[in-house]
Amino acid sequence: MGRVVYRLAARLLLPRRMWERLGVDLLRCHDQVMARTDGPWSRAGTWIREMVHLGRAAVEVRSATGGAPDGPPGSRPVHGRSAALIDDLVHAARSLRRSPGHVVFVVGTLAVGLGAATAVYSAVRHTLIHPLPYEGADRIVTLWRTVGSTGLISATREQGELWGGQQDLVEASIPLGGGQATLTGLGDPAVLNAPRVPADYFAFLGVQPHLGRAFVEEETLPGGPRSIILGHDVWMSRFGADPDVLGRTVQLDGEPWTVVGVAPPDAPLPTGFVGDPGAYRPLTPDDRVTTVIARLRPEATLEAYNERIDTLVARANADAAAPSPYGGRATQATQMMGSRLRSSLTTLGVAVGLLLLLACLNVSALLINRGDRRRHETAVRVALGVGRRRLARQHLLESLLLGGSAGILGVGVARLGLEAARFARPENLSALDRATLDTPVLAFALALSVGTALLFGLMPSLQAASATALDVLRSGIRGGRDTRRAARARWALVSAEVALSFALLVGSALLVRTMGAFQRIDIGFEAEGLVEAQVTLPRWKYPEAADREAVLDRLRSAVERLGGVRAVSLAGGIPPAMGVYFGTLEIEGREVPEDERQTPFFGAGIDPDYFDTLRQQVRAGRVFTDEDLRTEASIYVLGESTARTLFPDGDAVGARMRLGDDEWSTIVGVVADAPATGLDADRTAQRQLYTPRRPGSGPRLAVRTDGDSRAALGAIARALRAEVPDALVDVAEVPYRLGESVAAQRFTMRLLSLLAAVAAGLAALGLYGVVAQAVGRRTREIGIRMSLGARTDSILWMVMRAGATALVLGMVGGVALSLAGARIIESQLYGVEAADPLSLGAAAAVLGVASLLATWIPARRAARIDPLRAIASE
Amino acid sequence: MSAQELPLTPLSTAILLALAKEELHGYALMQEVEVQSAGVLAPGTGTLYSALMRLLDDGLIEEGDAPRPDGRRGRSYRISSQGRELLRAEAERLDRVLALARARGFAPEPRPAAGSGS
Repeated sequence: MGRVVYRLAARLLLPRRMWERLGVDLLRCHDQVMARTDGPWSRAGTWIREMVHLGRAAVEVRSATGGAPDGPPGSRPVHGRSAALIDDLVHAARSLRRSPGHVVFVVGTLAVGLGAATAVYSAVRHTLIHPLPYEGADRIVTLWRTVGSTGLISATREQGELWGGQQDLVEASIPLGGGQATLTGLGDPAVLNAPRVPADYFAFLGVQPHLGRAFVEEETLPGGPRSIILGHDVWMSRFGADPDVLGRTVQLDGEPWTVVGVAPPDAPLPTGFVGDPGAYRPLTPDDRVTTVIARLRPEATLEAYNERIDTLVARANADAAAPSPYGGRATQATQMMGSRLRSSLTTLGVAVGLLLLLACLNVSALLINRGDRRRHETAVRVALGVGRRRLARQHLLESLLLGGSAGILGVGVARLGLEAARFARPENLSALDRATLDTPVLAFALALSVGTALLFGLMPSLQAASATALDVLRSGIRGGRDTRRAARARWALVSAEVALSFALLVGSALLVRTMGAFQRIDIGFEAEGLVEAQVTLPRWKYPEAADREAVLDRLRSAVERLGGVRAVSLAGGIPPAMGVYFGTLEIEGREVPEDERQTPFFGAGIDPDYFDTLRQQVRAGRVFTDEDLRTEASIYVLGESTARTLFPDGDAVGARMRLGDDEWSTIVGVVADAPATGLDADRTAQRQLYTPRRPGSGPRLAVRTDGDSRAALGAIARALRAEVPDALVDVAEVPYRLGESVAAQRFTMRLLSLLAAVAAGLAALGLYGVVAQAVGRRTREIGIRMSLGARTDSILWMVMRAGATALVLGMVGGVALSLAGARIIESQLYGVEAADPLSLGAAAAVLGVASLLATWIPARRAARIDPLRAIASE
Repeated sequence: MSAQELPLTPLSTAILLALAKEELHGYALMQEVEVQSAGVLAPGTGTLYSALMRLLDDGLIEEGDAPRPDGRRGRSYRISSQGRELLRAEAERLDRVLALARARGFAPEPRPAAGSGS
């Protein structure tokens, strides 16, 4: 792209004679200069330098050889369109140089807007539009079994072979195995995502290993050689990017594996967004298949393929003795993006769009102001015979220069912004890491800069073009027709700015209220002072449940002995990270409606003292006993809302139900609802269920501390590690974990608040500028009024009234705008209506105070005018 | 007929000096100018070619087509007899400037080893 622009610029700027004689050679030389430069940033620097030299050359060559060689430079006759363009450019650059403060303000304002927009676009592009960095990624589909109306379970290996074998629709399909493995012997133990992949995995994705080779068939046979391919990140961080890593042996889950390759960088699994794999293991027929993916033929549609799968499922059901409860479906792998990220980015995208528009309005108002002040100059130029068209072009060129500089600066702002976002992003938005400033994003920034320049430059340039030579005669008279029109335009722009910033403020206020609502949720237990410790035991070391139970027992005693610890309980899950139970629900003596049978349950296997430790209230019946655990009794405890939904008559305790292949189990108790998956999920709609913990299971410890849980964190982690040195230990306060579960909303809230604050600042600045301008224009009028006896406060009021009118008009527009935009943000709200009077009030208050200040300063200046000097000022 | 008068611009002098040694292509010339001025002169493509255009117009250099390092033939530049003459005149002028500067203590005396030839 840079080359095309350079070529175009060279052709446009250089005199025709020189272009024809040296053009080809010059471009070749330019190519060589660019080819010598490495890295996007130094390339961009070199390119800019080349452009500057080109511009200098255009001016130099003309002044030397343009017409009469002996004439003084600058007096050359202008011929040809491109020569006039150069003249105008030089004129524009000179006129901008005369007012550096103005340039800094305009470029700064726009750069913020452009930078924010570019950063968000980059994030959207790399996560929502092109989430997978593979050729034809939109044709990669994941195959599922469907369960009822809610759940998707991965297709089996056999289904994958059958469905993926439809060669008229499918190019290729591969099964994948999931899994994690513990890497030991290289610093701290680490759990790696270590999927099992077939030999043609990388070929399927169309990428090559960075080092070494892909797996071969032999390695995917049962009992084949234990070979692994390292993930690029792990190779960089754990092996120091050692090029001689091939052939080395590493310990995975306590077994030796030989490194045969290193995966390419940025090669996520095409199944979702669990970071890049740390290591790939060969998938053998003995391994469980967790996902089947397929690549559709370019001409095949997803609908046609899904119809085919339906047919295949129906045929299989017809052949089978008992029909399977599962349906089948293929989904686009790129659609697996979380709706939360989508909603978050949409909100931010709209917000930066508004901010950019606001920046344009602000700059537009400023340029009109500037055009107003240059009325005299413009009129003189018109009188001297400069055409309207040319005048308009000069103004547009000025805008383009400003927009271009702002664009370049904006790319820098965007880079910083992405850097910051990467640093501040919550864990569950890891896809944001993939956002970079590549060529399409830079092209977007360029297009946006030019578009922006046209947007904010058009009105002022049209206005300049409407100047008439007659204005020369009237230039001494204040308040002419055009000036008044310009003033009206400025007031309109400022009102629009107020409206935009109002909408942004309402949006951020709504998210602030949402975060507040999360704080006030009744979570059903006492999170304060509760610590959660997750312990992952090396399974290869403790294969038997009894061994693991013994270790867990030791761990519990070790923590119990610590000072400041009141109670410790083992559990399979602690809010907001509970387990999930799948399976068909049956209730004794009752028919469960078809569409409710497959709804998953959230819950955990727990110890008898679990509810005590969490201080979770028991609403009915009893909790488990040691006896229940020892006999592995088939009993359940239900969440309150679940009990009410499934047993509306309140007879839950004593009833019997079962899930999938479980035994028929008696419900012995009902407890308060807990946020099983996070604060933002609807607890009352979730199904919640607890079972007695089975021996050896339940890798989490709930620790009730004396109150200072932060102080206890380190001691707990140390005690656990001392007891089992090769276990993975992850300790955190439960309130922190709960906060993390709404981190995406908090992230959006913070960014939106920042954008809204900037927007309000810009709007206030715009208001200030217009009011100050109005005061300046009415200096003489004010002087006369004062000399006729007007009081200071009436002058103050006169000026502020104008500002207040714009403010009120803007706010009315802002209310309408924010109500119209409510739909965008609605899915992120919790416990607050999109039309929230308090949020509207808060936005009005913030803008009101900022605007008051912005009008009060120039108003006070007006009120202090010395009448005599004001009248004499003309 | 020459519009180039003494003193030559530093870039023109550097280009003539480089071409006085050998015939060069555009990019090689750019590198040579940068090297022989120890990086003081680092013209961009545009600046270099606008200087070349002037030198061509003034007849101080000529176009040739020496083979390029990659084997292909392409436009190259060589100094003309007029160019040599002007370069000599410029060098003498610079010499006078240097002598004057030395006499007034603004420039170091030539070291014996380097100065033996002058």
